[in-house]
Amino acid sequence: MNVLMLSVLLMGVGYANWEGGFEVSATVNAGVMAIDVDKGLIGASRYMSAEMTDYSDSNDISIDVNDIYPGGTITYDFTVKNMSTMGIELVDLYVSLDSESDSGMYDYFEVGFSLVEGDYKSSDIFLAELTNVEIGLLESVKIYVEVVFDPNDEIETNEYERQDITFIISALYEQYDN
Amino acid sequence: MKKSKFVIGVLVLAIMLMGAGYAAWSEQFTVTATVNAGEFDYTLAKENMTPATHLYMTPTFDVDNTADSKSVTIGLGNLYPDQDVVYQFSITNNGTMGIIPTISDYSLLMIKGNGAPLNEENGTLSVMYSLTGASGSYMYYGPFKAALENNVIGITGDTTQDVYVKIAMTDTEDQTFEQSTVALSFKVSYQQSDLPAADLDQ
Repeated sequence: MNVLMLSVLLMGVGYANWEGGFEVSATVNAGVMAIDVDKGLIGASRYMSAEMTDYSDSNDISIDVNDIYPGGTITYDFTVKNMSTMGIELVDLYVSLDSESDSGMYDYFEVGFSLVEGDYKSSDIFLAELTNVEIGLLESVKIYVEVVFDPNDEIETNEYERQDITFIISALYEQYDN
Repeated sequence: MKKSKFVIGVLVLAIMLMGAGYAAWSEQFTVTATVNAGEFDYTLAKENMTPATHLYMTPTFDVDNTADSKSVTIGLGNLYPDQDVVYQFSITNNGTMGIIPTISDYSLLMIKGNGAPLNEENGTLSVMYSLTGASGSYMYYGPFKAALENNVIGITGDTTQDVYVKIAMTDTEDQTFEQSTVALSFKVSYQQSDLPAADLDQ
């Protein structure tokens, strides 16, 4: 018996209850929500000029158009690439007028969006079609935009000649949850 | 039980870190478009009248370039055989877009001294037009209208369209045409065009 107890003591168990344990270490690395927007091509009706610039320090794009006239059209495209660690989707898209521009002239602009050249749709319809459509990891979407000045030939003679207007297209992407 | 609680705790933390549930991560970008409207503007100018003066005939030529009432007025008195007068005027595009004309309200009254009407193509008394002034380039109203209305004046290179109007009487002994009267008028309206500019010298 003594030999047995000694053996047990030497094993370090003694009289105490046997017990065991383990640890769970959880290291959580948060993901990244990021997009990369690159300019594409821009074109304008004859006699007009148009230039598109994208900035290295942001995803914003700037467009300058000169000498537009009634019926004049600008088309351009840009690419949105999902650089996130999760899927993303377009959740908002709207066109607004710069506060210093003439809202009367703005009424004569028609802005359409499309995923292919042609078949342009209003921002509302385009947004509805793309909501809940996932852009996967590193996937890209090219968006085509068409801007037409006075498409229905409604402007009075020489109205808005030499006038400037600035409008802003805002696109909001969120993580894709579905 | 303790283990289960811990696992749920980690799951909640992970979901919160993923951003799902209470708030969503998002990215926004803007496309800012600044658009400058162009200008529609052209000038009507009197160029030449050949001959500038005449010993017997009394040609008159006036161009009004007033913004809202551009017009050309041509007159000729005492025309006689083997004489002609050429009136040259021009349209210059000063705007930022192509312009193209439409001719309307054309009226050519040619009558003999006795009041009988004359045809502009009768071969004796004629009114003809040209876009270049070159010999052999003169045409009657129909072809002239078609040619001019096909010419878009662009904004670079040659931006001036010349128009020549020649009123002439051939060398005739026929005195039927004595005291004939020519009265000419037509309206030219320019409007913007996105078509390619024409070669205005053809």
